[in-house]
Amino acid sequence: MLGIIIGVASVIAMLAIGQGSKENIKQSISSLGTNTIMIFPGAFNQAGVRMGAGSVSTLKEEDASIILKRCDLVNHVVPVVQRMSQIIYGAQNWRTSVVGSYADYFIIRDLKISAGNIYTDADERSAAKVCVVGQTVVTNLMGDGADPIGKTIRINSIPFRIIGLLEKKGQNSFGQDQDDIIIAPFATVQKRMLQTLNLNSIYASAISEEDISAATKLIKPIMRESHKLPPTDEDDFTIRTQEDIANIFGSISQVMTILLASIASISLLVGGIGIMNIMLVSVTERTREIGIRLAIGAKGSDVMLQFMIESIFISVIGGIIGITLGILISNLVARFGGWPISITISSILLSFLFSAAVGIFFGWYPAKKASSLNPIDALRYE
Amino acid sequence: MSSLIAVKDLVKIYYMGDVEVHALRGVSLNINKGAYLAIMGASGSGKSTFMNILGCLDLATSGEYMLDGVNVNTYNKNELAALRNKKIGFIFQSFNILPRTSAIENVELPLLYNAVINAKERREKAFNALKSVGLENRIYSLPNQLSGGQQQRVAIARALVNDPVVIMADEPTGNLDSKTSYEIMEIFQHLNCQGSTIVMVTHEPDIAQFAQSNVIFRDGKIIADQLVEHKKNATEELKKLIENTQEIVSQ
Repeated sequence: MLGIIIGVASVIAMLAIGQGSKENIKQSISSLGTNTIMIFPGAFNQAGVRMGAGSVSTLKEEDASIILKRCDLVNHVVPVVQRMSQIIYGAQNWRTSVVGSYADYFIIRDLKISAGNIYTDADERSAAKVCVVGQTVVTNLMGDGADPIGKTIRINSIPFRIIGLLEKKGQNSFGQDQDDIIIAPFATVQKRMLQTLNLNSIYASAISEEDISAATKLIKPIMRESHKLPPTDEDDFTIRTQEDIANIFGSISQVMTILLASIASISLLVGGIGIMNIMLVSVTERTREIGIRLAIGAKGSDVMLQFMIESIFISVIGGIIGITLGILISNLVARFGGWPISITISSILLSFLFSAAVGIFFGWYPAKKASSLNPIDALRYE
Repeated sequence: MSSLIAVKDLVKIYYMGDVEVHALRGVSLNINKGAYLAIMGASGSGKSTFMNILGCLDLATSGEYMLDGVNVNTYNKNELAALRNKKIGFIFQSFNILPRTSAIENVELPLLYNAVINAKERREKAFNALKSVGLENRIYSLPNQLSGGQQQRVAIARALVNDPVVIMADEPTGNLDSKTSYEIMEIFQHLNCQGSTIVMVTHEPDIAQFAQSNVIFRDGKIIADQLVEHKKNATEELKKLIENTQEIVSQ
């Protein structure tokens, strides 16, 4: 019984910890924005001379809403307008990139706020003159450590109230300062600042990393239809994804899966051997009892039935205690080790069924052997 | 009188690796209903092998064995088990009762493998069997709370509980002192008076004197089959023994 308890508990705990780590790593990689899909305007083409991506303005705000409505592999889609602008605060000025987008932009780009708030849907509808600023902007306009919340800055002479400060992100892998940015509601930037209908890009986030390529394939015809392109025409947009990061993600997740599988099979093996030994010993040492039962008239099948019922009982009770203990250990690790855990039904089922099968087989096998002996041989067994 | 047990030319050969051991070399014997037989012989003479075959715990290499009108040689394992259950009560030298199991549950054990008896009847029969060996006050005792003699009496009750046609005892007093041995013999003589057939193996000549007749084995063959001339009465012997002990103590 102890063997079964420990076997089941260790498998569940190991799998829970392993699965938890896997999900943790998955999450950290996702925060890099691996599931972001970016759509840019297409290339300008005149008499065969193509001017490169973004040289025409073909993206409209409606494209974003159509994608969100018709592609169910993406959960957020936002239109983006962006322009380098001169910012004035008091006697200071600074040139930075101003982004106009819906509030979902923060979710897609995994941007967090360290002070204040992001703007609301109401701000979006009323084209409110509010904005969220990056740390670099604050440092250059107001000095290091200043509190920007509630202050008013002028962007292209239009006053904006600062309502939020972005969490510091530092440079990205290409050396760009990600904190040198101002984000404001889409309508505000589009209508009040730029007076344009054309978008710089559309950002979308796939539901998960695995869905990126499928989502990309779905978006393409939706965009073509929305732009009413005849089949012979080239796309007037480009779709890009962060494929290299996604590839790294794929290989890490594969390594984790293999690691988990080997942990699971090793703990199952060790647990199985423990169960096997205990059942073998406990039934073998009862060979004499089997002999007595045979001598007073039990049939081989009677003895087998008894031992089957006993080992099923022991396996099931031991399995249930083991599951409880395994969940308990996992939670202890989570609480005191600060380690993420994830207990799945499949790990519980796997460990329980395997242990029960091993327990029942190794309870059945020596009983089978003993009950097929001559009663006198079973009685003499030491 | 009709023969309850008839064996003819019984041979048993054990194979220990390459060596053949001839435990029985042609044994023929008839045992009548109501007999009380003691089988004697030195160790290795084949008496225990003979007993195991009579008790259907082992099968002979060749020869015939008729028990209560059935030819045992033609039976398969399951039929032999049923035969052991219904017709034979076996008593061992080392008691062979289940540890960690109460006296009454040990006695009930053979009835468990007899499907026609329900739980209530089972308890009743087991209690009566224990009563007949004088253990009605210890029915819930575990084997380790009982003395050797009491454990053997539980084993006797277990042998009696299915009303067997023959009781077989393989050195029933081998692990007991003389006083307890006489108590066991008293139970046997009492059962024999009530009509039970008893076959007993012993190597103690004084124990054999309690039986009606003695069969002596040597080297796998019967060398003598004789009636006991001065059959002893266990009750009287027991009384004598107790008196002697008291005399020694008082001196």
